[in-house]
Amino acid sequence: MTEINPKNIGSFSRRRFLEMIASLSLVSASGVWAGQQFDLPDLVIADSDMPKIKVAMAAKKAALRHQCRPDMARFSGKHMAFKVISEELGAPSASEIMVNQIMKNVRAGKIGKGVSAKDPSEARMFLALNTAATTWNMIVGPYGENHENMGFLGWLPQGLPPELTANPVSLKDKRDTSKKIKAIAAYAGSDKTGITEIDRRWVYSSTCKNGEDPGPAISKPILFKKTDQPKETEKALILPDSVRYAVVMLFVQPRALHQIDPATLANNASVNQGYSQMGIASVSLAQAIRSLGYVAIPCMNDTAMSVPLSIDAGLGELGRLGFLITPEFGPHVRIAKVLTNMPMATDKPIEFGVTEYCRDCGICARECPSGAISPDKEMTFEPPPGADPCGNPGALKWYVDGKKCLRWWLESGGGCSRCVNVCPYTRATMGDVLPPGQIRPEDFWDLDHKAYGRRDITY
Amino acid sequence: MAGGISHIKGRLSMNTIKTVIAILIILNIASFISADQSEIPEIIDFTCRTNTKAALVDYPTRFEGPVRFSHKKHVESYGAGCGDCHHDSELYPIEVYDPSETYSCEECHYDRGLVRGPKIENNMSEADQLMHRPNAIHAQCLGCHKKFNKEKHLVVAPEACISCHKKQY
Repeated sequence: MTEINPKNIGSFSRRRFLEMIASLSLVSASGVWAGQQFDLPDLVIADSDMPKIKVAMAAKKAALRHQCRPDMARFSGKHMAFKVISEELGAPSASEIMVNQIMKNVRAGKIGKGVSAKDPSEARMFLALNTAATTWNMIVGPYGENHENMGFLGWLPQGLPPELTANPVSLKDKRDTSKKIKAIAAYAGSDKTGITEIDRRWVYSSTCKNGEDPGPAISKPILFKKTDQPKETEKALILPDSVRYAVVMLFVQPRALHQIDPATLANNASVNQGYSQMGIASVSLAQAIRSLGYVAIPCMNDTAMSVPLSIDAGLGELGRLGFLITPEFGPHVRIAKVLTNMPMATDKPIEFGVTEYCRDCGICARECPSGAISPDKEMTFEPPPGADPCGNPGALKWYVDGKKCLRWWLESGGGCSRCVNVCPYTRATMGDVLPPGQIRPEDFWDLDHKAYGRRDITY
Repeated sequence: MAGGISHIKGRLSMNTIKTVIAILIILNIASFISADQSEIPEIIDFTCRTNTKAALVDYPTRFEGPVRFSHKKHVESYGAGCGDCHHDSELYPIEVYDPSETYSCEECHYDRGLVRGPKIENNMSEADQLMHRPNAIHAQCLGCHKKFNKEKHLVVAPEACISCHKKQY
């Protein structure tokens, strides 16, 4: 091995020399990488046996369905992936990184990493579609998280007569109330609604008011106290003890847009349309409940965990991919909820063999572009070490590494839904709109488009 | 794995620096695959077999297929030096390519199959994990990419499986 004798020359040390080379490399590499074109592998979904869906009432009560260690802590909003990744990258905002990547893609005529549109103008058209899809989401409070008790997602009645909000209507028949609230939820935009008593393990321990800052979290605990109305103090967000029910709503996402994947503007549009519907429906239903004189907290991703609440509300089961799997729409849904003190009859959890199917399937783990989904046969109580602190240990499930997942979104420039797209429950319930294996983004525009992009509505 | 590297402390003369650069340019740095090669391999194909028991029991990602690593591009376009990836038996970065040494990862990291997830946490020490070649290579590639991305406050150097691995059925 060659020996190099150390000799001094001015103040130019070896360390300094190596640092200089390293920084030059970094700068040049950044430029090269930024302009590099990737050809992603062809994403054809292999055939898999479709699940047979036969729904039954769960043998166990809601609280007993979840297998959790006694030491499981409530999840904190400051451990959401967007916050954690912003901290890891020291970036002003993970969303901003994604927007920059989207713009870079669009300029190059792409709608995601390795996914080309016909030309830059068509890429712009997908961006326009995404803009339309996400506008109400942005107006209401993007995705809900970090927007607890803010704007439309405020916890108090907005512009309703005190005569209504201060005088609870007498409701003696809980079953009848549930039926009518579900009908109102449907007219507010929900595709399916379930009601559960709130298991407080699923309510966040705290919120994060600066959810995308790289700096320390500005957090407030969420507490339950004896109070008539919800309120926010300098130190905490306070929910009345009487808030014991959650109305959980599902929103089906446009299938065709989901199929144009992975991690594309088309995926983004599909997901964001779901979020817009979530925002509109949760605020609308909350206002309706307030007009009946009861407390109502509209929630999107904020305040409480949507998936366990929806399982408790009898809407589906937990899948390997970390999503709720429903018998009607598979995992192809988004979830919003309204927390309330209005007394209602609750729904019972259901079973249709999801856990058993997921144990033997694993297609989401195989197909996940970032390797974020557990490939293990058995569930665990621990998230993978790399997922810390996003993964909340203590619940028996297949853990998803939210950090890996989000970093792929930022790399690609689009929210990814590959796991949802390939899930046999999606394909068994929703079918395919575009032919798998022959998907061209431009074909989307020639489809017979439905109202809201997702369902038939006849006027 | 190459050994016996002198770890130089203190300062280097400009002549030494020029010599190093000249050697790197003239020799085109080096291949670590074959000690006989005098040029940087343009491409290195990693086969990424998943024939461990764990991989058979569980569900390997479809992106565990072969990786075509652009070795020359990493050296010439991204400015990577030998020592950015290769180290000697004492874990010190390789300073200069030595054709009499082997640079094959397989020599020491001889266990196959990526070990991951709860298995890592429950059953294996970090050193044991690194005996598995995919773990060692992932640590090097992803470690460098993540470090780069942190410097840039972006995710521009690829991190996702799909960006490097060819899908297999």
